[in-house]
Amino acid sequence: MNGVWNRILKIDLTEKKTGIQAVPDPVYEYFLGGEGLAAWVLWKECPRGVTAFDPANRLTLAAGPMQGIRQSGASKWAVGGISPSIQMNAGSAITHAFGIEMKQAGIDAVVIHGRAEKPVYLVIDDDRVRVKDASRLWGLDAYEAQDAIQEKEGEAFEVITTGQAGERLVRYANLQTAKKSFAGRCGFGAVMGSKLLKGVAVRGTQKCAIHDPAGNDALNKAINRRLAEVDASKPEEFRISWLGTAMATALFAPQGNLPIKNYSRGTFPEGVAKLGGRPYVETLNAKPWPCKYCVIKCHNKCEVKSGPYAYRGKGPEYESFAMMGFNLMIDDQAAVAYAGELANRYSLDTISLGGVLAWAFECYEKGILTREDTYGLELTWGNAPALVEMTRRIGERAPGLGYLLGEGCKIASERIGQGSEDWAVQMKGQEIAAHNWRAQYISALNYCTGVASGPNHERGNSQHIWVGHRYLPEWGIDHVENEERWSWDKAAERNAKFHDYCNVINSAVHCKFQEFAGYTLTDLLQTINTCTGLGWTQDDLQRCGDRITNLQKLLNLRYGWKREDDFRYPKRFLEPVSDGVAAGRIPVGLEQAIVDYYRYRGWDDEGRPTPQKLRELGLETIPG
Amino acid sequence: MKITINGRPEEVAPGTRLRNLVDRLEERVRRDPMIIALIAKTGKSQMLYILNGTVVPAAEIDRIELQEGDDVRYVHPFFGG
Ligand code: SF4
Repeated sequence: MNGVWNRILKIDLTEKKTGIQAVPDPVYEYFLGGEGLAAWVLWKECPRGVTAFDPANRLTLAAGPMQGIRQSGASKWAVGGISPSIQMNAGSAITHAFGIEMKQAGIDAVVIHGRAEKPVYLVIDDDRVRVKDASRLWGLDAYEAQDAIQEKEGEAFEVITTGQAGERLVRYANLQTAKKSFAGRCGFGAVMGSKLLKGVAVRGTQKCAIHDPAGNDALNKAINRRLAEVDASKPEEFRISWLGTAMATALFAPQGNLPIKNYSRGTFPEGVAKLGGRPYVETLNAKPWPCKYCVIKCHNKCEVKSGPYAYRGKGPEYESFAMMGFNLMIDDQAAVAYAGELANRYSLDTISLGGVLAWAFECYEKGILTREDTYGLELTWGNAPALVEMTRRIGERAPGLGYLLGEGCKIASERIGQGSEDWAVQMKGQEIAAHNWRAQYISALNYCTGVASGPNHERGNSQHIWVGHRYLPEWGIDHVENEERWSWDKAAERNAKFHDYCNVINSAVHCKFQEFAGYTLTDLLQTINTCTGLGWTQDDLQRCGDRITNLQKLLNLRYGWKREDDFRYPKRFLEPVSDGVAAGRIPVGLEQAIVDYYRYRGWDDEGRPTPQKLRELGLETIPG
Repeated sequence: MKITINGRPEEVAPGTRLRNLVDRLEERVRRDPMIIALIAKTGKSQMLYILNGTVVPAAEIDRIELQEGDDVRYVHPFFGG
């Protein structure tokens, strides 16, 4: 198969050994690359009983067939392993140029296991691999560590690092690259920390052959031109290249999709007026900061020039300012952006951070936490300085509440008790991202049944059918009526197709945000075919997604998933809100919808793939 | 004659104009509250129509007669699906 090297780099930090492993074509034909390849690595190498911080856990950094082509969105790559938050297999997507550089180093993936004796970082310079002392980098934040590595190795290296939260095993610590992109969810920064791995630098000069270079080049040019044209033709308030994901406030507020006051309210007009949209651009002096080859340009570089929240760097994404702003009732855009910058430097996932803080704020409101617990801070709704200070305390894992909140709100609420589990808006140990389940019931189904990264908004983003008017017409999901957002009719099918779609995107690997400008499944299929020569149809593509979903489910089962886990969803979503368009709506019927989903997938009522389903997908034995 | 609409083959009568297709699609999307709000604000649905990979300016829609093999896409002004 073209578009891949059939080689992965294996690194054992315990034994200080490195080596190349050949990977046969059928593995790619089954799972493509990226997250599919990372899942395959776990299947082959991580037996039942291996946990996230176990040296035997495999941290996989994986490219796919699309890395190396000049298409908008083809800078994405994937991280996979066993997650410390959900305690199962997980994947996370990240972008900019590290994945491209890794591919140019002549490998499809780096698989890291073991635990170093002392802090280290890795340098991969084409075929030459070195494990280097990182003792002096330990304790630096993620951006400082990147600067230090590039100063030593050279600016030409693309680098990933984790900050203090990763070192200190905050369960939702992330890893970053280029000070702008993050493998945010599921705690892979903490997996790096558990291995005493501070960073990885990669540089490559090799070109991976693709099947049809001329066809691919023409396709890339046509797609890039069309995506830019679509974005430029949109009304200003929905234009990604101007606002990035800060456009989502204008889109989600009228649909009742925002997370407000720990998901207990339906509206927050002061916040809607100040967070996102034009105020975002003006307050933060936001300018587009695209990843390599991207014409959509969702990332922003920001500068707040004065005041207590002055900073220069990445602007918060929608999920960040929604979870730390709307969810805490903080309407100060600069404060939220500044807290986001701190979180990024410590390597705290901003979705989980907003979720755990909302839980703590509610504990404070109810008198379960007091100033004695909170370092004297008033954890009151809307208190921006408290957000900033608590971000520091969690990043540093300060003794007491800061440490506890680093465990996530599931563990924190179990320790604190007093009924606080009821407002811990999490599932399977991971905080829920910034989409209100009451606004479209399919969100609930998506989170409950996710297998790729537990409950995750981007591993089966079926909520986009309504909140973004995103369809998959080539797979039979086209126009829907607005009222269907509160119906379970066809929810199983739609949810399954979106899970499979996310899996092929994250395995190809491509940036899902290209869909904001109308990237299509036809674009994806043609690109995969010109890269690989597989000659697939849309049915083949869908089957590939289905296969990856089933492999992930088998891994869930291996690492201890039980049926009841899918039914233990946050109680908060069963309490109706009294304001906004979703007032009075709660996802009644979710239990049956979950079972219907299992059946649609060809799983038994326990949520396990049947032998017949595995046979259909050729998964009785896993290749390689 | 055969054309493709959002990636799926459809049969339309020879001589069909892009306007006919647009009217059909607009009728459906105009029930959507987000589109209704956009029309109230800007006077139009802001739906984008793409013919053979190029966005068709609103003023051009009336002039175009569809041809065998044409590829038509329509994109909502939000995320773009
Ligand atoms: S849309 Fe955003 S995340 Fe995706 S490649 Fe472009 S700038 Fe990067």
